[in-house]
Amino acid sequence: MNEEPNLLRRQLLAMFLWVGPLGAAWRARSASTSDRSRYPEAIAKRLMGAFASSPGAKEVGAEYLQAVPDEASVGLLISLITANNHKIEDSFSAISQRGMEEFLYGRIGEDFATHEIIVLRGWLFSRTEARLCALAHLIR
Amino acid sequence: MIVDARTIPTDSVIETDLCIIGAGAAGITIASECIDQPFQIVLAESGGLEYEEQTQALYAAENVGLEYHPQWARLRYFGGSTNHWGGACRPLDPIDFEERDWVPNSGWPFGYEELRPYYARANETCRLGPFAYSFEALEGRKFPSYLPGLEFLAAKGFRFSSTVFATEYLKDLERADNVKALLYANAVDIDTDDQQSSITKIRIACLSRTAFDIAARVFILATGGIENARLLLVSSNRYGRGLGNQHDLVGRYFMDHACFNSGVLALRHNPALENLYSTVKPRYHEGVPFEYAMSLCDAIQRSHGLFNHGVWLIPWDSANTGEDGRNVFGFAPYFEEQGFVEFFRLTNYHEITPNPESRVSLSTKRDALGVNQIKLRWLVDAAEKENSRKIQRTIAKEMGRAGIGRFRSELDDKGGDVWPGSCSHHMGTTRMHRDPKKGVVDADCRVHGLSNLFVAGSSVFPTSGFANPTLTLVALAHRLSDHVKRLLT
Repeated sequence: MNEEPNLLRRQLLAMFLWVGPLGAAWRARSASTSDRSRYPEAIAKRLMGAFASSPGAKEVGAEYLQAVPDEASVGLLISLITANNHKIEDSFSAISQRGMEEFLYGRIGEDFATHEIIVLRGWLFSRTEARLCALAHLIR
Repeated sequence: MIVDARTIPTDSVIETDLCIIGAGAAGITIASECIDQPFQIVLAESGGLEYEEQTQALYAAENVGLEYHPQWARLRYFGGSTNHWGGACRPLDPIDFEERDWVPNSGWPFGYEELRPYYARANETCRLGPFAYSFEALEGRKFPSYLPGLEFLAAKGFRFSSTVFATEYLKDLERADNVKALLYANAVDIDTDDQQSSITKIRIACLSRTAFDIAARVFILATGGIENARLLLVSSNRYGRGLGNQHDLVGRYFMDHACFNSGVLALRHNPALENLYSTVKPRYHEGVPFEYAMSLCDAIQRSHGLFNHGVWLIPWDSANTGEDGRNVFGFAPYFEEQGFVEFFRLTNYHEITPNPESRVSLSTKRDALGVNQIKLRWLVDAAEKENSRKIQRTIAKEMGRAGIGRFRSELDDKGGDVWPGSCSHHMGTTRMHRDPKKGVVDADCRVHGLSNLFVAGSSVFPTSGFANPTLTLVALAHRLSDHVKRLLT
């Protein structure tokens, strides 16, 4: 049973854990949100690799951006997903995989609890979940 | 003894101790309980032992509310609607008996514990095996402790009876020395004494034009959730508005369960959940088929102001034509990637609140016996529909929060008039309440203001819960039979 939520977590992490791959490079040049905003393309390129095996997420993401076109920006989506939690944003490289899992999974659960929900083709998605998918769509 | 009422001389009077009108589940239960008691019983049934068009036509009705088919939902012959029922049985939940501030006009005069011993007897009457409806009783382990994350749900068991009351009990009644079962005997009027405080006789008419009276010490109406009100309303010679209707309550608060499909649920595969699904292959508990409905737990119902409800998870393939749910509703690759690979249609039975404007009244049209037909107005208002939507959203939210699944609602796709459908569960028209201004019968099911007239059946339910009503109405019939035995012995 415990492995099942982890499946989602892993999927989401696959979208977000450019932390690991970026590793030292990220630490070197992106210790702040201003750094991050300077390098969205670099992040996007790394994300592309992570999302290559996720055509489903891209489909959901495209639908989301059609419904919410104002969010069609990698930087904006990252901010929204992290809820402008600068502590999280600024220390991606320092956060363990488990910590990132807990953060993302918690965000999605919290979305459902607080009705931060978007309806796409009738399905109810967490906003965070849909934004992660939108990110996947944007960085192809 | 079985007697064809058409052979009884016109204008004669049959004298007895207990007169039961209606040989459906409630009437048969009470009569059977009173076999060998030291008093005489007449059980009067409108029909014969088989279905007959002419008798069934006495159910013809005028419908002025939501789509409804009151003439076909019931059967008017010995055994009543148990001649075609689906057999689904479950007691009401304890919360159903409570006065809940978010459910207008809710609250029974007693709690679940009062009815609990009678439920056990009703279980036996319906040949349902052990009184086992909880997940723990059916599975030998607690729900949901073995399914972390599902604490927001309650699993509610249904047992299925194959008992046709006529087949099961006719022989016993026929052999009983103190029971006379009259066939083709239609109650058409109820008469009181001059003080209008007790019933003296009930007028019986046959389609053959024979008519006679039954005089008794105690009378019980057990003609069903609609006809009980009809009989009180047409018995208006002395009262103008009908018997027991001083406060204009008879026929009001008509309830049925709202039945509808609400959407599709995509779940992760989890063998531990399989016990909860409704499948085409029934499961058995000590020889009796059973299955589960799911409800949001009482705590969530209380905190969110939700009506009680049952939701059946019907595996997509068994609910449809084998079409793959993933392809029907889109995002198939995404759900596949996320592991949401099992698709279910959600079929709902929801409690509908007692509404005085939802009612049975008399039509100006008359049946073959000259009795007013009923005019039925079943209402489900916008607030009730919104409550049903809220239940779906809460399920979706909790499923998502727990990471168990994703939900696609169909309710917003449907036009306002398309849902809900009825379940043919007729309840509430002679509701029970201690206060005569708020109920037709008291806690003993006695009509307020009349010393010897009682009502049996789902018409006395103050609220409906979501469970099919038969087990509860049979439990109430057992309770009433005990009361009547005390009165007559």
